[in-house]
Amino acid sequence: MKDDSLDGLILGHLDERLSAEEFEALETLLKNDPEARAQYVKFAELDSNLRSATDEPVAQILSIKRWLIPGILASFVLFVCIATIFKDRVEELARPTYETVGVAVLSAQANAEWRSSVPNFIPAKDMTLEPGRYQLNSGLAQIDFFGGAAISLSGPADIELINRNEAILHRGRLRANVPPAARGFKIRSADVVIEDLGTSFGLATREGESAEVVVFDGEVRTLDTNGESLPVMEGQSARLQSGQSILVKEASRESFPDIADVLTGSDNSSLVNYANWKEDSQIRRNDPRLIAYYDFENLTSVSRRLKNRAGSIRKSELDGGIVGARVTDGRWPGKTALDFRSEGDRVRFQIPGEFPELTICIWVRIDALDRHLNSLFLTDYFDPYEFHWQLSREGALHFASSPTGVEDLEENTRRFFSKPFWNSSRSGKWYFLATSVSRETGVNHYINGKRTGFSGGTNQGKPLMALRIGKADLGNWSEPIHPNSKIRTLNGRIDEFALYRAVLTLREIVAFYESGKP
Amino acid sequence: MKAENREESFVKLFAANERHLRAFVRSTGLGWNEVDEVIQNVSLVMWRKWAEFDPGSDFLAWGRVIARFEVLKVRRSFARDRHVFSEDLMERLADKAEEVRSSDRHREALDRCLEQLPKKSRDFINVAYHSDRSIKDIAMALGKTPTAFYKTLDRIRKKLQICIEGRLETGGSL
Repeated sequence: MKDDSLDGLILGHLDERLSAEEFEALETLLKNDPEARAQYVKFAELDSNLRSATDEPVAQILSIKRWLIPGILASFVLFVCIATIFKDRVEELARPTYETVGVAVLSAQANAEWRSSVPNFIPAKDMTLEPGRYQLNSGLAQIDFFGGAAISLSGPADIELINRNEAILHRGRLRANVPPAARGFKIRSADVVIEDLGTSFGLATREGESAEVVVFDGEVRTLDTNGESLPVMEGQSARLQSGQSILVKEASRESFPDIADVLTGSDNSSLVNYANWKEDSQIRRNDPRLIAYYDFENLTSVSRRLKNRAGSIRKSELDGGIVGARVTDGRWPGKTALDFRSEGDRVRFQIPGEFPELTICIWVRIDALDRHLNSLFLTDYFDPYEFHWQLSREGALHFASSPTGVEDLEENTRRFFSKPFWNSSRSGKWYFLATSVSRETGVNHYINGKRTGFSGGTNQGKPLMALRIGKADLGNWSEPIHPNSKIRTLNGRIDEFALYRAVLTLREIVAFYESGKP
Repeated sequence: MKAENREESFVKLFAANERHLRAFVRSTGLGWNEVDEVIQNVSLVMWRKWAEFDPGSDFLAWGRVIARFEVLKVRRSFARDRHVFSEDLMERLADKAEEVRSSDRHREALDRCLEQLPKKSRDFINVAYHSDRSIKDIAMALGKTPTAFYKTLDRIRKKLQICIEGRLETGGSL
C-alpha cells in the first residue's frame, strides 16, 4: 500500500487507482466516520474544480520538455499557430520515441510475400505489427490499426506504420476504411498528410512520383507542406506531388484492393485447423488421467448442459450447468463457445474428490480484464484445499490455494502470479492457458505452450499437499468470501476446458496448444 | 414566458450551476465517465421538467434531487464495475455534500491557492488534469513512474486543500 492515510485513499479512489484491499479499507472508513465522508466530499470538490478549471494548453507544458532543439521548437510554434486540428498532432510528436508496442494487426492476407525492417520478423496472419517499415512484395494484405482504421494493401507495396492512427505509404496501392470512431486517421504520401474524416478512400503511390487519392465515401482532408489543407469530397480525387495537393478532374480508374479481395484470396486454413483439432480432441478425451473434459461442441441457444466428454463411459454427473452465458463462435467458424459477460454468466460444476496432483487447461478469448480479478475457474468460497484460478487486471494468470481456507488467509494462502502476458491490445485473441500443481513440481503456469515465470505471490515455498474442487464456477465466482467482494465475471469466451488428475509434461502441454491453435 | 426566453433562462441557470452539480455527483464516488453521464441525464430531465419549476425556488437544490436519482440509476448499471460504493454509502456522501454548500467561494479560493503554488507544481496539476493522454504516458514523458507521479500529485493536492480550507475559514483574507 503506497499511502494508507485517509487522504491518500480518497485521492487514490478519485483517480481510480486503488487496489481491492485499499478500496475496502476506504469504504469501511467512510461508512463509520462522518468526518471521513466530509473529507471525501472536500477532495471530490477540489478534484472537480481542478478538472473544470480552464488553463493554458497542456500541449505546451508536455512538449517543451522534449522540444529543446531550436529548429524543432520553431516548427512546434508553427504547429501551434495553425488551427486546432494540429493539436493532437503536437501531442503525438511529443510522445516518447522508445515506445515499441504493437500498433496494428495483420488480420488477413492472400498470397502475401513480406519483408520487414523489424529484425527476424516476417509478418503472418493475426500477428501484431509494431511500428516499422513493411514491404509486401506481392499479394494482398488486410491491416487493422488499433485506432480502428483498416487498410487493404495490394503488393508490391511499401508501408511504414507510425502509430495506431498513422502510416506512411511509400509505394503501392491501398484502400482505407475508417469508421467514425477512428476519425483522424492519417496517411502520409509524397509529403502530403491525408487526414481521414470518417470515410473510405483509395491511395496510390509510386516512389518519387505523384500520388493519387480517390475518395469513395465521406471526406478526407489533405495537409500539404505549407500547412494548407484541401478537402476532398466523395467522388473526387486529388493528386499529391512534392508536398502539394490539387484536385483533379479525371479520377484514376486504377482499382483499389478491398477486404473482400483479401478474404477470398486467403486459404481455408481455418477449416483444416478445426478438422485437425476435432480429431485430436477425440483422442484426448480417452486419456485416463482426465477428471473431466469439456469440448464445448454443438451447443445451441437452448443448451443448459455442458457435457463432460472424458472417458468412454459418460459421467454425466460431472456435466456443467450453463447459467446465462450465451452460445457464440469459438476459435473457428462453426465451433461453438460460451460467451461470459454479465454478472450472472457462469457454468456451475460439482466435482468431488481430492487430488494430490492437478493440471487445468483452458482455451479462452479474453476481451477485457476490467476487474481486479477475472475468473477462469473458481471454487465456491475458498474452503481448505480449494483453489482459485483467475486473471489479474495486470494481465497475469493467477493460481491460489490454502490448506486452511480463509483461516489465517495471509499466512497460508499460496499465491502464484505469472508474468503478465495480456494487455488490451491482445483483446479478442484466443489463448491456451494451463497450470499444473503437485507437491513435487510445485506450481507451473503455461501461456500458449510456453512456461512462464512468476511476477509475484505469497507463501510460494510452502507445499500444496492436495487440491479439491467441489462446487465451482467457470467464468465467475459464487459465494464470495466477503459479502462485498468484487464481482469477478470473466469478460470473454471459453471453448475448451480440461481437468487432469496429474501433472502434464511440457511436451504434452505444447501438443495440446499446437493442436488447438486457431 | 416566450419559448425562446424560457430556453435561454434554463441554459443560463444550468450553466451557472453545472459545476456545483458536477462536484455534487462526483462526491458520491462515481468515476468521471459516470459523472459525465449523470450530468447529461440530469440536464435532460431538468429540461423536460422545466415547466414545473417554480422560478422562485432553488435551482441547485432541485438539480441535486434529480441528480440523486440519476446517480443511483447509473450506479445500478455500473454495479458490476469495480470500486463503486454501496448505494447506502453514496446516499450518505450525498447528504454530506449537501451540508457543504458549495459556493463560488471555493473556486475563488482554489484560484488564489493555485497562484501561490510554485510554477512547477501548477504545471504539474495542469498536465494531470488537462491532458487527453493517460497518466502513464504523461508520467513517462516527464521521466517518472506512475507511482512517483501520483505521489507528487497527491502532495500538491493535499497542500491545495489545506490552503483552500484556510482561506474559506478566514473569509479569504489570508
